Amino acid sequence: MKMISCFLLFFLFLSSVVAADVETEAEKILKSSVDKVFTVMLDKEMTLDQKKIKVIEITDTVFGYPLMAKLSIGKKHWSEFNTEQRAEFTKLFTDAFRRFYVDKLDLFSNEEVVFKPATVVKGKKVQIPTMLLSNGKKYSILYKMSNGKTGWRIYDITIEGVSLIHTYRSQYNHILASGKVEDLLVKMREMKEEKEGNKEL
Amino acid sequence: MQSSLLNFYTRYILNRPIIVIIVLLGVFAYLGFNAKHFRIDASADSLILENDKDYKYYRKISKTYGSHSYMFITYKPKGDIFSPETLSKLGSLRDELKKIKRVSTVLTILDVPLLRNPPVPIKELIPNIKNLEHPDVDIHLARTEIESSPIYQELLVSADMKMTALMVHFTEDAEYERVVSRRGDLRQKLSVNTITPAERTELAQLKSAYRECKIRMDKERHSDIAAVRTIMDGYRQDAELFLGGISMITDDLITFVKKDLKVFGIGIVIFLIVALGFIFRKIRWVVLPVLCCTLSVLSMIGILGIFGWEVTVISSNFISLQLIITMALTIHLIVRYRELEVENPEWSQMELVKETVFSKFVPCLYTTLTTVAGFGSLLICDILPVINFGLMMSVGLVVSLIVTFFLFPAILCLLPKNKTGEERQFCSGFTRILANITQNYAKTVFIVTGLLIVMIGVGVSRLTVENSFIDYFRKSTEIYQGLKVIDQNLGGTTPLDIILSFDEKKDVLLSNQDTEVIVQDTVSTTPLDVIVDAQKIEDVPLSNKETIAESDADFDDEFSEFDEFEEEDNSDKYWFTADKMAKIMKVHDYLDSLPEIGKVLSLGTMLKIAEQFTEGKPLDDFQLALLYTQLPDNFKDMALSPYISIPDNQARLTVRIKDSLKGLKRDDLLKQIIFDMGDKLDLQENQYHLAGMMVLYNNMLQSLFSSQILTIGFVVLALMIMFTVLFRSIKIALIAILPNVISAIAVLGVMGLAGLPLDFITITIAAISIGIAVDDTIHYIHRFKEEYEVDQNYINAMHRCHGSIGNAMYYTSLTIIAGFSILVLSYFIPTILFGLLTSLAMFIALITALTLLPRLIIVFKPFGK
Repeated sequence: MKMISCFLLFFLFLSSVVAADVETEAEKILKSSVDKVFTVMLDKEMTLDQKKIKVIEITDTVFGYPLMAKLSIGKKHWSEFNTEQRAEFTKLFTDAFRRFYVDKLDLFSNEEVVFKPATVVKGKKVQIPTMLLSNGKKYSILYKMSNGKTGWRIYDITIEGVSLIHTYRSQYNHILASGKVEDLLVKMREMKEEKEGNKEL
Repeated sequence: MQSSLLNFYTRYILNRPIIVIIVLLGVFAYLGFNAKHFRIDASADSLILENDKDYKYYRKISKTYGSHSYMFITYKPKGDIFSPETLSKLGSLRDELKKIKRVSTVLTILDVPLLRNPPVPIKELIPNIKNLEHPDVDIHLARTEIESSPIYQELLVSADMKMTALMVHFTEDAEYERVVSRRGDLRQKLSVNTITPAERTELAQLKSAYRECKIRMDKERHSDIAAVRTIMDGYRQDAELFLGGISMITDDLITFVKKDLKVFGIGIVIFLIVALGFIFRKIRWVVLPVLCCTLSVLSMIGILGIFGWEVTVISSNFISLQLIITMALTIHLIVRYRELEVENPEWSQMELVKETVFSKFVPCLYTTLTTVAGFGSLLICDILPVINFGLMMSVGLVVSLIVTFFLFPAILCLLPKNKTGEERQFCSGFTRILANITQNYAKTVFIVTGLLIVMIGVGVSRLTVENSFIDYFRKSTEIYQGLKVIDQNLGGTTPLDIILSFDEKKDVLLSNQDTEVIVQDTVSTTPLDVIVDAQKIEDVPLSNKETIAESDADFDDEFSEFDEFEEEDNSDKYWFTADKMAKIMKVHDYLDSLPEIGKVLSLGTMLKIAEQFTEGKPLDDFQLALLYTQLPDNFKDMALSPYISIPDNQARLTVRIKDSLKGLKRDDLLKQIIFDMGDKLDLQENQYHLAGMMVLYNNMLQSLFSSQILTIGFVVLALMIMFTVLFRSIKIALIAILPNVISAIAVLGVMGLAGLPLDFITITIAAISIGIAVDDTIHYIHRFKEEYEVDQNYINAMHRCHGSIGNAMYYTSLTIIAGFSILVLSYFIPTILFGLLTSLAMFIALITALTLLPRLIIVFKPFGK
């Protein structure tokens, strides 16, 4: 019995060390990105458009778009995509996500972000809970990162329990459940063109 | 065969009148006792097709989303609806209503959540939602919000803000739900032949359980409505109040039908007494027919009670009908008796009665059988209340025939002969005029007939099928005014559901206009005002230099590491995708744009409210999911549960149709909606479904209409065969059928010309008319054959027929016309129309039987040259 308790304690100790170690690297990357974004957003010299381009440059280093794109489709449908379609989808997804992110940027500017201790999931993944403080209200934001070939990258953000990848996935799955891959790509292309068209107007 | 039957009749009926009377009294007592089980059913499901797949779907939808068991009370105060006095009165009215046993909730403007009081972001609003009774509420803001609210407007307040409404919800009856659900399951098994003997027994038991449930619920509803009305009476000095809603309509229908059954049953009996007294001026000729009529009806009510056949709105006139048809039978017997009495003054009473019965039995049997054939046509359709009406009347006619041919001679045998053999023929001048017209104006008869046929043709081509509950009531009635107020100011009356299904395969190719919301990069632009130039974003390279296409093996490995997404995929909050919302919104706006549709409620209504928080921009998937997670459960129950079913992956839009709208064509409206769902809204057939009372009523009406049109041919054929058998001549059968068809179809023609639509009740008039009108023809031809044999002269035979049977036909028709005309005094419009149109059919039948029919006989000489 004692042996078992010791083993358990050792395991817990060991895992916390690992967690602390991993947390340092992943959290460092995330914190660094968040700080950079905040700095840009608080820069009074830049126009909003300039800020957004800058923010995208920063966030591109921390978002794992190809993985996010793939996860937003899911295993079931991803196999229906050929190589070209995967490439195009990833590009369109990246474009859409960037747009989503910068559109939401105002929500996060001029606020305070409190980082909480990260937890490791299955070794290669880490979840970093944060709290966004805004006008006395607290909003929970969970960053999910994974350690791939290019290092630690965000693959999902969960805000108040709602996962961004899930919201994409339910939408794409609905389209793919009733149509073909090409239909989805057509819609995404049209959407992109429309957005660009709107901007020109 | 016939002579042995007559011998039997003479031996056991005519020779033993007292025993016959005693036996009959016993039968009447038994049936009279069972009359207490007689029941009227005017509920919504009495008017729908039993085997309708839409009904099964409707039951399923009701189960998923809850049913429509509610009533409206409109409240129009003398002052402002937001004044403290009015709000206080409303509160006390609501509280009183809540105390009624089966009332579950009462929704008023006092109770609804105010979301802009004051306007704050959603996150701050949710823990601090006020209503009008909240001490810190800003009444001015509340008025503005309610006035412009997509949900409260036309639901709880009228557009002019002068009237408010209280929605009174009733608790569901668990026992009824259980019985109906189980019965549905077993019927399904029965239809596919997988039912076990035990289940078959259970199904039979459920049938009676269902009836008991319905009887109990009808009583409960009636007492609830009475209680609601009593409470309303206490507030009438402060405001104008009306009651509305489907459950009130059906309850009031029962009340009207019951009242009409009673009032017009008695009214027609009184009328018969007066009419018979006026025509025959002898007590015996009043008492005998009235006895036959009332005892026939009593027997029939007893039989209905024994078999559990319920009188519905459709069969509500059966008492009037049976009284009048029985009276027609007795008048023929009386007229024949009096003829024989005049012709054979030396005959004994027994001989007179015997000859009367013997000479009239065959034509009366045939008139009954042909009338049964008319009503029998109703059995062909698959609508239970119509089938029951057909059966009811068929059995009723046989009962009348038996009662008349047993009771009438039995009593008459016991009465002494009239002292004065000669009796005055009442108003025989009319038949003489028609005889002269037939003889001297042959061309005119045919020309008028031709014109009549043209008119009928034009009228029939203009016929429409429409059922409007509001048009069932006279404008002066409270129910009409209440329905109109609700219909026009508070969003319509008859409910219709549109169910949108989202899980069909391969439906994605929607039109380009959907794209904006379909692949919305998970976002609308809210709340940002500025979007970075799309091209600039595109130009930014992937700075982390990740390759887009990695090897398949790598991806498969990665998927197994991220199975968290597979696990959470079915979470309810992710159901709300922008494309689904766009579809709902598009259908919502489309329905809202139709002038025939009043209030539209759906998730779209809720989205419109939510858009008030996003500066009018549609919510994206992320915001929707976020909103769903933030909503308290009680809000989900109120705002989401009635409009979406996440497990079924479907959404429900509920609308109410404006029943009082002039020129509303319900069938066309439903067809238009179905067409536009595909054509305008790009939905595939399996992606939407129309349900609700509106669809069920329409299905029944259309089915009734098509089956009636189809069976008219069948009835004509059946009558042809019967005529051929009776008169043993196809030529005579062809001659006989023409006036009947004209008189029956003329009713439909007149309705078409007058713009009266066929509805649940008037649609049966054609069958009834054919059934009743045919009697005159049979009596006339039957007599003509006898009279022709006297001198083989068609003209002479015609004059003799007009002077004898013509008078009987005239009396019966006149009495029927006058009797049915009494129905115009009803407050129930279908009863009025029924009275007027049946009278019209009888009038045309009489005129054609005394002009066209003899003219055709004279022209075609079917009895020989």
